[in-house]
Amino acid sequence: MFGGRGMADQRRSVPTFSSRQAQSGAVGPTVLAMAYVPSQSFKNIYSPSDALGAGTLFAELNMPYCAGGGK
Amino acid sequence: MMNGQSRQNEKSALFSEITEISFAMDELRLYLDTHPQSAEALALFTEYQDKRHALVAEYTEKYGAIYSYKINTENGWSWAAAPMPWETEAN
Amino acid sequence: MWGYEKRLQYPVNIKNPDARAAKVIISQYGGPDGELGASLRYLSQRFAMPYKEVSGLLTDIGTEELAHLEIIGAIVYQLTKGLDIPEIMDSGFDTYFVDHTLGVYPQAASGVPFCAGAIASKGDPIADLSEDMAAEQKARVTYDNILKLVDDPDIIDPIRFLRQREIVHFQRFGEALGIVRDNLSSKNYYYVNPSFTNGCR
Repeated sequence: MFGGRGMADQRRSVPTFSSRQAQSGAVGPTVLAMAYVPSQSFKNIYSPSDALGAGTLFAELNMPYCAGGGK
Repeated sequence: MMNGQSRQNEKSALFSEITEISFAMDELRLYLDTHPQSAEALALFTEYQDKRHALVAEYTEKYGAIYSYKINTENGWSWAAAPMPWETEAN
Repeated sequence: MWGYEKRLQYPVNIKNPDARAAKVIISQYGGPDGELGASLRYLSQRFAMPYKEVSGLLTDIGTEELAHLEIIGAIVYQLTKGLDIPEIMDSGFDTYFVDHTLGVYPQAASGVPFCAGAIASKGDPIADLSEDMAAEQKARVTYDNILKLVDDPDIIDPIRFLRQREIVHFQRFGEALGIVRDNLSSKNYYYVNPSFTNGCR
């Protein structure tokens, strides 16, 4: 049966990366009065099915909340 | 000979695959917008593009169009035939 | 221009109506940090953005936010479908019901109708992308708060998805700011506004 609880449980089991492990891209030379976000590199790609469940294709960006079943 | 329930399961499974591959392409599109030179992202996008095209063609033929430019008009106007996406039956 | 596909970006299948949950989730339809504001902000900012990779990103994320607006609308619709008068009164949904019945209306949980005052389109790439990064964080916090307030897995599932999208969008806007920097001089990023070529002359 499609949808509902079954799919929700199935989708919650993909591995995530702790923010300490994420090492995509350096920020490069920085100056004052400017904001910098490191550039992501292409790695640790989920399958389309796991990606939909996680809400992202990229394990490094998978950062669930403490409520609502996150880890 | 497929009965009603297994036909519904096949339709749901195909629709599910389209949802999944489309989302993967949505993610790759945004990544390519900020990394236009990424050969790896482009290769995966192209692979999924071909796969999605085939899935959507199959779904459209068997169950009707999800995109109105591709609607089959042989039996009249059918755009409203399937439930709207916000109804539980469509998900 | 926009195409429409008859599907949701993420499926919504809620078995149990819940007017209390609808009352708070509606903030992501028409509230200050919701999906309507997000789509309008990005789709408006893209016109003055001088770098085509960034206007491309604003178009694509703005389009995705319209798809998210649709998901939130579907959630509110399914949460309120078939409600009876006792449920409407007990949940406090009566103050919305009196003006909208079970129609979906763009407002915040507080009842304030959608207001463009919550968004900015400043016509300066650094200001606009900074605004966009802040917007994605505010939306993410709103979803955090919704996750604290609901416990039905059918509701949690699409809300978790939408929250994760905000984090990805924040990353992309941060990368876009890097693209803007690459086009300007690091000696002084604020010397000119590249969107306004008649300035300072």
